[in-house]
Formats: sequence, structure tokens, C-alpha cells
Amino acid sequence: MNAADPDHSNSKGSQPSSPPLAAPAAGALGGPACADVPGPRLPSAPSRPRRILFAPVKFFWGMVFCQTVTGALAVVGWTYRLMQRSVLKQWWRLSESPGKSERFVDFAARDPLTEGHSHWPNWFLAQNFHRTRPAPARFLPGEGSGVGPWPRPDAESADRRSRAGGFLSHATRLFKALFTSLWANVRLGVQAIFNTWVLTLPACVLMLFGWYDGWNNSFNKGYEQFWVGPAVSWLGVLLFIAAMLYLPMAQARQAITGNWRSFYQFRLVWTLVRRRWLACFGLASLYALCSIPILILSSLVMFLPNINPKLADLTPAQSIQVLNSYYFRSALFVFPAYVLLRLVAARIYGSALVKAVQTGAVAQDALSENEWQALHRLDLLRVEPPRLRHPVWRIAAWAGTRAGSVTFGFLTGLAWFIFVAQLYLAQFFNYRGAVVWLNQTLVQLPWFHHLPAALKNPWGDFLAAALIVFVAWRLKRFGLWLKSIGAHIRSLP
Amino acid sequence: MTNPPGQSLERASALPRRAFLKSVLAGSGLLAGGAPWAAAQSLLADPRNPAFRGPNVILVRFGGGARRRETIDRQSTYSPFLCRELVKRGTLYERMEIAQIQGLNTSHGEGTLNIVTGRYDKYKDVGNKFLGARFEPKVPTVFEYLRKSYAVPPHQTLIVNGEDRPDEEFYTFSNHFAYGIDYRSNMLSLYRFKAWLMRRQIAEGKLSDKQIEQKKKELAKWEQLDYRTQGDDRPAPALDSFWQRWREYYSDSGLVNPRGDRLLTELTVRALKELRPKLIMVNYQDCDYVHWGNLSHYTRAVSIMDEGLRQIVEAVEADAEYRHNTIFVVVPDCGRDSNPFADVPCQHHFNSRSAHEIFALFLGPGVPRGAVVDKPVDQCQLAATIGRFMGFNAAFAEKRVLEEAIA
Repeated sequence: MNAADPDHSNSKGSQPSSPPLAAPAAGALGGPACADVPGPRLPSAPSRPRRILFAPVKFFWGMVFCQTVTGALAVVGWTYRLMQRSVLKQWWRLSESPGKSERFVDFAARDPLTEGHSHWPNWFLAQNFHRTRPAPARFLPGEGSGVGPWPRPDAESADRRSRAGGFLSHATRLFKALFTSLWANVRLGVQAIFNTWVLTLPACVLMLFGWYDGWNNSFNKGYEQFWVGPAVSWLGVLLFIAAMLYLPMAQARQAITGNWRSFYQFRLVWTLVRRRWLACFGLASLYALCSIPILILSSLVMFLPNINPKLADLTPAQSIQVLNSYYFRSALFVFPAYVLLRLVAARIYGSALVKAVQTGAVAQDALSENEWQALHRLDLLRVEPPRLRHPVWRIAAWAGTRAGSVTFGFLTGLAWFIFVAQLYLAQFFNYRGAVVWLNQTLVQLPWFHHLPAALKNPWGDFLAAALIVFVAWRLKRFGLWLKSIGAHIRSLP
Repeated sequence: MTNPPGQSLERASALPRRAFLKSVLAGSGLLAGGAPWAAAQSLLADPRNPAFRGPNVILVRFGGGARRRETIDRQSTYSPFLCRELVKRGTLYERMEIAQIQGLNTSHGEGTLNIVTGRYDKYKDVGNKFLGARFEPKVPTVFEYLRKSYAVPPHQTLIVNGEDRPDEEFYTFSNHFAYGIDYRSNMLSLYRFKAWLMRRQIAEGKLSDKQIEQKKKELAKWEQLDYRTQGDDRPAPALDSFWQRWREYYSDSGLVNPRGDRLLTELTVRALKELRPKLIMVNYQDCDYVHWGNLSHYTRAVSIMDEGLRQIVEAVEADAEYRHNTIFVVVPDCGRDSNPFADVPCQHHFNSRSAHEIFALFLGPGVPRGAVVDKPVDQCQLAATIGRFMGFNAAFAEKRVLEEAIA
């Protein structure tokens, strides 16, 4: 199943000429920008019918994956890959270099680092599966992005080796390529959710216990320590808001760099946030807006027996069936909302980073390798000298920026508060236990499939996901170990 | 039964001219700001009425909102005393329901008023507050019927209310022109104690000026809430003494007395000893905390109510005057949902079928023992049935009486 790219305008599939990028402009680094590596084969842009065919298929799989924790991990990873592509495309659009490719697909295909972004990320198959034949499912170092070299530069030789290796080797590679994207999606999802939880889980745990103790206190009329529950809740809410001021940009950074460690580059991420308060406020508002349908969907399920009284008499198996269908349909909103929020964050990140680099607020050596390469190829690394303005204007601008930052910082916090308030409201209407406190659909895993504990233990899904990821990881390690043994044996005289 | 139903029906249905005029005057006096007069008048029993000799009735609202499953279902009960002990001693209506009427809510205020008025009504909060339950019944309550029929002072018709339901503090009388404030019941609650205490502290003058000022402001705010009596619904001397003894025992802090539904049990047991009520309604409420999603709050609260019920029954049995002259009526204000799609199936009571499904248990003299009635009956039949037991005619209530409960 290969990808379609709905936002491509050129569907002729022609092979355009590949003019070299412009010479380095003032302030930009020279070197590789001019040496635009010609790709082994330039892919054609997916045709319109193909896009029309595959877009709903991809959407359908997104909805399916939102039904389980393991699937939600894949959705997170897939979304991160899409974010990377989105930013790359944004930068390509921003580039005014006369030498840039006419079509994004050509630009992406010219560098093994970005070749996988010629079309939307796949759910299962390796990128460019149809073209690369059984592509070796290997990544470069730091390839966590899942879009690094797809295939890596030595793909051709690997292919040759593959052909030479006989049928078994060929079949093995083919089998691997069938699931390359799935593996990359899940692996990226695990890295992403780990970081997201590191930042948000403490606040979520506080909110969980604040809720528990607050009402426990009410029930037991603990007037002497009435403040404990509310105080813990408020602390959790404030911590959550603080985390959310940082999180979307950090997630975007992790997605774009493909490196989980970059999530923790606090100074860089915070610099970008501070430079784009207005956009961050917009993003927070969008989160708050998108959580309204989630609130409705999670509450509406309580009213199903009121809407149709016959539902109150269903057997457990029938109830599960009804809920499965309900939550699958809910994914019609949940999946695109989750992706949309991250794409918006990625766009904010992409534009903020370029601007920050060009004004010198972020040094080029703070960029990741793939960011630097992409910006360099697009001639976006030029540092613009600061404009000299009258001191009065500078003071006014500073004050305006300061006041703006404070205002929009406050408003952003308020938008996040509205977002959290909806979580509390949703829990009041339909209390779904600790799982919902610890995993909020739009922030952490887009897993929106809650069966009552009486029908199915909600933690079972988490345990299954953990087990699957662990086993897959160990198998991978085992495979690598076998390979190293084989290599060692072959190297013996 | 000391008052044959037929006899009391005649007496109650004939509305004396003087009483009627007095009611109208009281009503218009209220509107014209003459509430204090009316309030003061109603502190006394009407000496023209015959004395009430029983049976007394203890009405236990097994609420707020309890399902059959956790109460009368022997397999899954959390109220063993009710289910395994009391049921054997009385008549159980295991299929009592709140009627399915368009616009009728299955909630606590509504359920309480269904029970005490014997009529279903679509209540609206008088201040149009969201989720407010400040309702004013249009037809008389059982307390009003009793007081109008017999010489019973208000402090012997009591409602024991919880600390988290201030709206229900004002269910003591209806807006019916021929009944209303003159025949009101009295409320026992922490709210009332605090109001009494504030008045007392202001009068004692032991607090600092600032504190007194603060208390006066707070009291004025509370009194405004009781706009129908304009804050002049002062406790009768008997109640005054009751609160005085409460204060002496539990002090002013509010941190010594029992809390939650245990407080209601304590107030009831004390009231039985000190106020000798003829009709008392205990409005248990704590199982409603399950609204916040902790199922154990519901099941614990059911157990606490059950324990409270046991204490009240023991208190009655230990009292010679009450022992053979008291009828218990145990009934939930409403049921709760049994939602198969929710983690906490009984978190709410959104007018679902299960929220309409309740039960009623009668026990005491004149009630068949060990009888289980397996036919659908209505919550609004309770008022007329209580009227039959106590010897008054609940003229504006649903006429059908729960005959199986009467031997």
C-alpha cells in the first residue's frame, strides 16, 4: 500500500529537470547546498486517482488503530512522520532559492534523507515500496524519524546483494518491507509517548488523586483537611498547563528531528514558544475547541440507554459490540483531530525555527543534522542582520513584545485551563477512571475506546501493548545479535 | 391504629370556616410582609384539633437515589439489616416505581416531594438555578395534613436534612392556600443549628464586634434564602432547648458531631428522645456522591444508611411509647441508572428505566409481616397510605392506597 499525497498539484508524473540549488547566500553555510545529491530514481507524484483511492484507506487504518493502545502508538508514530513531512514541505514553500525543485516530490527525492517524504507516510509498507522492491529496512544512525533514508544510500547495492542472496534472502527482505512502516510507526510512537508522559504524567497523577481525594473528602466530611483534595487538583492543573505550554513545540521538535532526545532541548524549544506566543495561543485554543467533541462523545455514551431504552437490556457481548461500533465511529473525529493538532504544531515549529535561525536567535549548531541539511538545501539558513532602529522605537517594540508575551502567555494558559476543565466535566458526566486522567486522547495516545471495567479491564490494552512492544524489541535485538554472530563467523579466517 | 381512617377522613375533609379564613389571611399576610405573624402563630398546635395518639410514622428516605440491586436484592445487597431483617418484619413493595411522565425528573428533590405530597409534578427551581432544587409544592405535604387534622405542634413533625442539600431545607410546607406555613413542619439540620447558633452568639455578645458583624451579615444572607418566612421561621421553645443541648454536647465547632448521614441518624435518635415527633422524615443522601465516579461512595453510603436505620429501629424499640405505636416507611427518593455502557453504571439518575425503579418497605403495628408485594405500585401512593395509617385524609394526593400494607 503506497502513499497518496492529496496536496500535490502535479500529477503528471513527469521527471523534471533538477537544477542545482542557488549558491550560498550571505550568512548561509556553503557546501552541501550546491551538492544536491541526485537520487537513484526520482519518483513520480502519485496520480489523482491513486490519491483518491489511498487517502480514505489511510484514514480508515488511522481509525482502526485508534481502537487499541498498540494501534494508538502506531498512530502517534505515523503522525510524527507526517509532521516531519509537513515541515519539510513548509520549508520548501518558504524557500526563495531559484534553484529549488519545482515540485516538492522532486525536492524530497533528491536526498536520501528526505526521499521517504515523497508521499504521505505508510501504515505498513516501507516507503516507496513499489519502487524499491524489497527495500532493506535499515535506517541511518538517528533514523528514529522513520523518514531518514528510505532506503539508505546504499540501497542499490543492498538490492543487488539481496538479489544475489537467493530466494530466502529476498523473501526475508520482502517480508521485512511489508512491515517496515508499521515497525517505524510503533517505535516512534513509543519514543513519543514516553517523552510526552515524562512531562505530563506527574500532573495527570496529581489530577487523578486530587479528584479522588476531593470527593473522598466530601464523602467523609473531612473539614479539617478539606484543602488537600482541591490543592492537589489545582497543583495538578497548574502543572499540566505549564507542561502544555512547552509540550506541543517539544513534540514537534522530536518529530521533525526524529531524535527523542531533542524533546528535552528546553532552551531551544522555549525560545521558539516565546517567539510565537500568538500562534501557541491559537494552538491551545484549537486543542480546547477539539476537546469539545471529545467531551460530547465521551459523555454521550452515558445517554445511549436513554436515547434507545432497549440498549439497557443488552448482554455484555452485545454491549461490547455496540461500544466497539460507537468508538470506531468516534474515531472519525478523534483521528483527524489528533493529526490536525500536531500538524498545526509542526507548522508553528517550522516557521518559528526558520525565523529564529535567520534572526540569530537560534544558532545553526543547535539544529539537528536533518534540519540543517534540509534548511541548507533550501537556502534558508541565511542570517539576516538586525535592523537598526531608533532607540525609542526599540524600547516601544520591546515593551510591546513584552506586553504581548505576557498577554498571550496568560491567554494560552487560560486556553489550556479550558481544555483541562473539559476533562473534569467529562469525568463528571461519565467517570472512566484513572485511564482517562493519565491518557488524554488529544495529548497523549489517541486511544479512544473505553469499555467499562465490568466488560473488559482497561489496563489489559496497556499491558498487551507493553508486551507486544517488548517482545518486538527483544526479537529485533535477537536478530541483530544473530547477524553480528554471522558476520563474526564470516570474518574468521 | 387509634384513629380510625373513616373518622379522620370526615374531620379532615371538612375545612372549618375560621381555619380557611386564617389560611387565606396568613397567605396574604405573607405576601404583604406579615410573615412573622404567621410564622409565630404556627409554632403552636391548634387546640381545637383532637390530640394525636398514633401511630407515629418514621419515614426514611433511603437516598439520595438507591437501586433495588444494592438494597433489597439479597444476592447483592449492601444493606443487610434492611434486606435480611426488616423485610421479614414488614411488607415489601419490591416493584414500586416513579411514573414515567414526560418532563418528570427522577431526582432527590422531586422524589422527596412525590413522597410527601402524594402527587407527581414537574418542579422548577424557584430561582431558575441550574441544577437547583428549590422547589415549592403546590399541594400540601403529609406534615401539613397531619397538623391540620390533629393538635400536633410543628416540632413534632420533623424533617431531618443533610448538610449538603440546602435547597431541601425549605420543603417544610407547601404553597397551598388552605395549608402552607401555618401547618409547616420543622427542619432538623446542621444548617438550622448554625442559624440558631449564630443568633445565639450574637445575643450572647461574647464575640468581638467584628465577629458579631460578620455573623449578622451571614445570618442575614441565610435568612434571605428563607424568603417565604423572611427568616422568621424561628424554632419553637422545644427546638430551642434541643439545639441548646446539642450545643452543650457537641460544642460550637461543628467538628465534634457526627458527619454525613451519620449526623442524620444522630439527629433522629435525639429527636425521638427529646422532641417526641409524631411524623418524622429522615432524608438520607450520601449515596448520591457516586455522581463523582467513586462507586464505593455509593455502596458505603448504602451501608451507612442501613446502619442508621438499625439504630433508629433500636431507638424506637427501646422506647415504650414508640415501640408498639410506630410505623416505619422506608423508600428511596429515586433509583439510579443501570447503564451497561458506563464504568460506574449507577453514577447518575438520568430518568432511565432503572432510575424509576424503587421499592418501599412498611413495618410496624398494623402492617402484615413478611409480605412481599410483587406488583407495580407508585411512589405517589405513599402519602395517602401514610394518611390512612395516621388518620388524615391526604385530600390532594393520589387516592390509591397501598392496601397490602394495611392488615
